Amino acid sequence: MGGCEIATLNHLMGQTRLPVFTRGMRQRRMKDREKIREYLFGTLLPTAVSARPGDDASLFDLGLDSLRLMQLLVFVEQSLGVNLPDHEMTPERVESVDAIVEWIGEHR
Amino acid sequence: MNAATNVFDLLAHAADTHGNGVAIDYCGESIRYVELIDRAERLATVLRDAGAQPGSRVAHAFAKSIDALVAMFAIARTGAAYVPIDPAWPADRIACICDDAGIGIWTGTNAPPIELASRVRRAFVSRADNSDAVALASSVESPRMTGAVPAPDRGIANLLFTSGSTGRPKGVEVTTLSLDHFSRWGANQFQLTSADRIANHAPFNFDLSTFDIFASVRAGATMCPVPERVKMFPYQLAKFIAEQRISVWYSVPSALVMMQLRGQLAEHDFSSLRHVIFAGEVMPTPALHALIGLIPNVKWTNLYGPTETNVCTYHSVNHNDTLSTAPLPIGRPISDTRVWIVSDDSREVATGESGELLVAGPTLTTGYANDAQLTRLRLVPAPDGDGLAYRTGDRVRARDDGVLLFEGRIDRMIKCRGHRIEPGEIEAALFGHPSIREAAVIAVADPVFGNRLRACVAFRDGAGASQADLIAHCRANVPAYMVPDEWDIRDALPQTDRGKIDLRALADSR
Repeated sequence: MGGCEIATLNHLMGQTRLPVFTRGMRQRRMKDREKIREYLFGTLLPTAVSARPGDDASLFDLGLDSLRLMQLLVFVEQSLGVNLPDHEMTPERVESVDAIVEWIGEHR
Repeated sequence: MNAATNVFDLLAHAADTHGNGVAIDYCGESIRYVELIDRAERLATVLRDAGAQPGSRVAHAFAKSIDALVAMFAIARTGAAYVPIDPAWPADRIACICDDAGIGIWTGTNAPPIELASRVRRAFVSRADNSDAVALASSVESPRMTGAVPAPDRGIANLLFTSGSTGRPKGVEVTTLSLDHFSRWGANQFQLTSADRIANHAPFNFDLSTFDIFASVRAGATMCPVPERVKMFPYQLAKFIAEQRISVWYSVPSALVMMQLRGQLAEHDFSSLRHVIFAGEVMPTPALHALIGLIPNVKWTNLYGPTETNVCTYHSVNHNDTLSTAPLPIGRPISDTRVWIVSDDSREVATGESGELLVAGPTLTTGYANDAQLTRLRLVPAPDGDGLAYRTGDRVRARDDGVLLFEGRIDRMIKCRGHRIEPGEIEAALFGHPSIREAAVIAVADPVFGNRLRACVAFRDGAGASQADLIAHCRANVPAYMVPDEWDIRDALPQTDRGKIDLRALADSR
């Protein structure tokens, strides 16, 4: 795999490409998740610690709107150092913590 | 065509003159004018049989869809007024609005919230569920409503509810005359034709949407609603304009600023776009300059006007505006509209001096639903003695050439993403929280969204609440756009000599 942290295997059918995660990448992804959760539920969409939603909860239902979405992107860029391409920004990419972490992971 | 006495007349005219033209294109799902009037008149029969008639108000709670326009024109056909409701508002607020408007019939994408069960007699919905609501689609089996199109009671075409400073939303009565006049002016000013594809970005409870709907129908053009799922995403929004071949775009400035920042505008093909119109809040000049650079062959127009006056002034962006960083003017009055700038003692100020803008003309509201006191306060005898004028609460100054400049509010109203927000309504909600002793909501300038909301609160002795708890409380009581973005929790709020909360000190203290 050389210096890359991510490699892909061709699935048996030769169509689906499965990501293979290295240990460093898994750890980074866990850190991203923690930071995103803290920013979302501590600052952007504050929720009592005891009542924090799951990673698959709909952020739109929790109040993610255009203003907060722009703030989230700035946070990802400045605090995680990841640039998320504008053209990839769709409802599916930001609907949950899971989706956002996945998206960030693709640009690490 | 002659002056419309009912907005339905505009649709009837379009069906006569451009019957086979596409009235609405919702991302590929489309309806021609002859089909739109057919469906609207069949639904009108159903609504009339349910009791809709001149004088009644019918809830209109739709997501962007063809059904939304069918229902709007069906309500108009019966002579009733439509009352746009955002289904995402807290149920208590919807109930409060339905009470004020005296709503007995509901139309919407979904059934009304259960809190309204005792108020709503009949409901007609796109998505029928297990409730008593009737599927809109079933109206195709009813005959078309025939006979003369009745004028609505007191000429009121719809009620648009906006934030109220006392904690209760207020319903602005928008007249048929206003919509007829404004759509005529707009179709003429922007030279709309049946070849135009006009975007509908604003929600139906925003007065901006009345341009998209009625100016489009008047011209026999195609209206293209922007899907909700696209609105928050600047790149998708830009792609929508390009792919839907939009020719006229109208939105709040923040939607445009978001596209300028995150829309990668240089990547899209905007060759169909010829006019961009914006209104609802101040357009940041640097963002406008950048937009003009990115979309060069387009005309830009700034519209101004509170819901109570509809659009009352306009400014076509010119070469000089691109050289200056000064705020964009709000311009000159639209046709048949008179404006005055007056001082605190209601005297007209000299040219160049600031004062409150008063507006009179055909687009003026008749007042607020169920609130004669507020109506008397805001609608005052016009300075020229001809009818009434609306006190806008906006501080305005005229240049030597007569062009008007907006300078701010004389009261506390805040504009945020085009929404009109009375801090008093949010404060009233905050005071409903058992732990709060003092509360004030102020605006904090934001480069993209104009303003953000900051709540400053102090708790009762021994009491407290988490920010999350306060937000949850607000979300249950006011619409999402009125939930404060920032929280400043203090032991006590600063006071003026007179013992009132010192808002200036709060604003300055950061």
